[in-house]
Amino acid sequence: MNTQLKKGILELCVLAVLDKKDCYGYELVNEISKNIEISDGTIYPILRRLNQEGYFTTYLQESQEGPPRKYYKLTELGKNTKEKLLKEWFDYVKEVNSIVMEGGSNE
Amino acid sequence: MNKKEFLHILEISLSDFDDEEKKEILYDYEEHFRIGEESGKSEYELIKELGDPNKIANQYRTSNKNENNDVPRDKIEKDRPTIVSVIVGSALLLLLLFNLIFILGPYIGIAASIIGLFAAAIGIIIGGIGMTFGMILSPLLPQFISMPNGIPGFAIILLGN
Repeated sequence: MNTQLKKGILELCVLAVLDKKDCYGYELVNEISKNIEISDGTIYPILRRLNQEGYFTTYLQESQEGPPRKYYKLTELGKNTKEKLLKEWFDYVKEVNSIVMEGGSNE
Repeated sequence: MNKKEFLHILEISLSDFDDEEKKEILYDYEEHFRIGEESGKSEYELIKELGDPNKIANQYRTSNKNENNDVPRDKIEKDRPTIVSVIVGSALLLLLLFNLIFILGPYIGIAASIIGLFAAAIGIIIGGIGMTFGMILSPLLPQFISMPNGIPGFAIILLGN
């Protein structure tokens, strides 16, 4: 698949997972890679870039198992961006479907 | 390749990043290994899932480069003073000077005369009120108020109004 497109979709996935709850990196990576076939190493660079763009903030939180973990928390900007990307995604899917499903859904 | 080697290769491929950035990036993978192992995965499984450290480093580089290419390219062109921008700049400066002298001068003049007329009007009103009260009160309090002679009373009332 087009890498640019895939990148955009991954961004949306990251933002969508964080919109549900704050996550630490490993949790977030697992959440995405269990559904999308992608090497885990791809997510961290995206996380870093989105962080630099101010879509989320990070904080350290203690865990029962051991040292503190770095959690990511969506900012207002991140939430708005997620909504925007989500809308773009749905529009895009609809447009593509209307081409590839032609004849199938239109009786 | 084990965890140490993975982190080492990553660190080397990130050698053109500044130390602070490199530390932050490496921290993410150290944490990833730590939590991954706590949840029962082996180093090797985790490395396999992460992928090639050189490729990962390149992704940081391209995301940085994209940003650099997106923003500063326009900035550089803006910062460089071309002949056109010098001409436009000096033209704007001249226009500003012209406006200051030929537009602002008369403008201030007109504004000043309007303010002057306004002040004069207020003065006349107050004077009129004074004259009117003076004329009414002068028969009662002759020792405090003296009205100019030779002006008939009705004229003072007219002035006052």
